[in-house]
Amino acid sequence: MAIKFMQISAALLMLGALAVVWSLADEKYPDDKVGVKLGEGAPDFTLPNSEGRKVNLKDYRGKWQVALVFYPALFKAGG
Amino acid sequence: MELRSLRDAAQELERLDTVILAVSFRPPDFNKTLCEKESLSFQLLSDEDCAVIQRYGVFNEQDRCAQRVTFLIDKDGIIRAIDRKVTPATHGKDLARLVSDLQRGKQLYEAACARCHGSDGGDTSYPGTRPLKGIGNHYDEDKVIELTRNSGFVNIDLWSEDERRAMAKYVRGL
Repeated sequence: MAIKFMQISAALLMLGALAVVWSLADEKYPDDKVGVKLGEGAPDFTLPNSEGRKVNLKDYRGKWQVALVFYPALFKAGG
Repeated sequence: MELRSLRDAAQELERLDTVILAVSFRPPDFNKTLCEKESLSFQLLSDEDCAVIQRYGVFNEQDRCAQRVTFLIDKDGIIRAIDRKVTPATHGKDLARLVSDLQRGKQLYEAACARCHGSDGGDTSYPGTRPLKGIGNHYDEDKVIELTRNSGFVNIDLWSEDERRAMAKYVRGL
């Protein structure tokens, strides 16, 4: 009986943990999407440049091709 | 090192109608110092909470930063190439090469492939024609070339190795 109770509790705990992970994921990605694909639209974004001015990917639409370069920036300075 | 390499290729990329947007988790003031110190002419963008980095699927969980990945986005906002094997020291030059390869590939595709496959790769009305749209998400460059060779429709040896690669790069972004 006690063993069964423990098994059920463990299962419930795991479900709870899963639910927490799930809700966190939901919060982070409201559109429930991670990752992009070739031949599909690039997700839009707005980010500040080094002057603090907001840059929107859409600003380049119809004018420029964009090389969107992600880099780690773990260096102290330079590079 | 990657940023310096991009700086040195920025003008050539501009001639190819391409601007660089470089994204990291660093805040604007860090980037401002970096821009001045390295005389960078392109935009360094700050994604401090890594939301955009995560959305693009290039988040390094362990170091809480971006992976080294470059996306080439055309004027219509469509992702045409993804470089996941970036070599920092030569990335600028490699990127310029990729952009010109894609332009060359487009010309060759329009001349040789578009008649049956359609200019967007989605036409399958010609008997035995497979849809090309999105093919780059399933097959790498070598596989695209191999499939073309084995299709029996095209004599791929009409083109040089460089031309074949350029076409495959372009087709993968359809």
